[in-house]
Amino acid sequence: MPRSRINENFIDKTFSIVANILLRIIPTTSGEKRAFTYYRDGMSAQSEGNYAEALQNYYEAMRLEIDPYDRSYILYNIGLIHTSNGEHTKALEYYFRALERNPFLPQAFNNMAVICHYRGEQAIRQGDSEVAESWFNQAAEYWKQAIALTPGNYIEAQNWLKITGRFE
Amino acid sequence: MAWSLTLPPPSSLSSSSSPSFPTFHHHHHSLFFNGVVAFTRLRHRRNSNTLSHVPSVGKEDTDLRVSSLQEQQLGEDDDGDDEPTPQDIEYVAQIKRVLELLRKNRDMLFGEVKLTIMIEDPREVERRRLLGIEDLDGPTREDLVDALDEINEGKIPKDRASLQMLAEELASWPNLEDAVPKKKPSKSLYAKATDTGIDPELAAKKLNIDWDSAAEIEETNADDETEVPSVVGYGALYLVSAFPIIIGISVVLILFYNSLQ
Repeated sequence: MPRSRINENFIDKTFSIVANILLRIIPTTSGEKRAFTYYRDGMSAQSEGNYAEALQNYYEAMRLEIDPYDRSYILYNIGLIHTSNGEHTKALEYYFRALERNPFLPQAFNNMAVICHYRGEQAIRQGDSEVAESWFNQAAEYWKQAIALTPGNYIEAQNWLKITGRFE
Repeated sequence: MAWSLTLPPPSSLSSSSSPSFPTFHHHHHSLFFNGVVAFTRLRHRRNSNTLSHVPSVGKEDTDLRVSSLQEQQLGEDDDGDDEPTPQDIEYVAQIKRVLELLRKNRDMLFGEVKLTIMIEDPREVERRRLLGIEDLDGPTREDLVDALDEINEGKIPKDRASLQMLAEELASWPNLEDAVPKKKPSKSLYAKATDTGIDPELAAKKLNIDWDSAAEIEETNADDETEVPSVVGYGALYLVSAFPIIIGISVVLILFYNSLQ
């Protein structure tokens, strides 16, 4: 049974139908339609916490999608999965590649900043203040880019930047 | 007269017997010693010969065996390192061709291909971690990525199993000949379906402004040269833009009505 038929609640059903309508309206090749179908199923599995199934779908989507801009969203979502699994190095790689194809992903910048901030805190616990400072500086750079894209968001990050004197 | 018989004096007897005894003793001692020496020498000679030969023979055999093994190992290493098989070369050429096609037709960078190959089932990773074993059935995704890196650097991977598996996986890449069509980022289904923290329309506008400055200039020129009334142009644009909204609202209302039944 296709995953799209498993969804039962109103919101998921609405999203599926709207996505199907958009898929029919917007002119795309059959490969791209299949790619988006895999992507949509991957997102659905990801939202349910079934990361293995999500990754399988994203893998197929990456092989089928021919547009680099659209592939950036697949890479971004794979990065989210690795972030959730605590695989920060892998997550950063996927975020980097996603931003390389699409630099307007503020949430990717935010997630990268969060990872760097976390690693900075770890370095402090290990007593390595210099490494921690580097990680915090890197986090600040990423947060600045995220804020530049969406000035009204990431209030906590803005406060942290002001408090630590890294806003400029 | 009786005393006229001549007998040897005791001293002469002593001197006579003394040389014989020492001589005998000497001979005996010498013979024994000589025998011992001879035996010892013979034994020593034999022992030395045996010890010298046996270890020598064994050592030579061992050396020969070690040498032959080393030669075999070196030969194998040399064959593995310096002389890749024609099949390996074919696999590498095949992989490079696929990478070139992906770059040319899809603008797919090497890093993207690498990250795609890197996608691994987390259940398998967790299973291996819990059991503390390495998968002996075949190469891991990391092995494939390592092989891909080596090929990208102009090397031929030594791990033939990984090379073969990688070649097969890339050969099965779907729709390699399809080229990326030109379309506006604002029409991306992915952008509409994904929450990335920014409005897709705003992102599309920024993309147009930042990524297509030349087109902006051309659009400006086109606007200057256009003689169509703005009402008609904008009206048509609004009408086309309204269709998705109307359809969306209709779908939501229909589903809501169905859910009430």
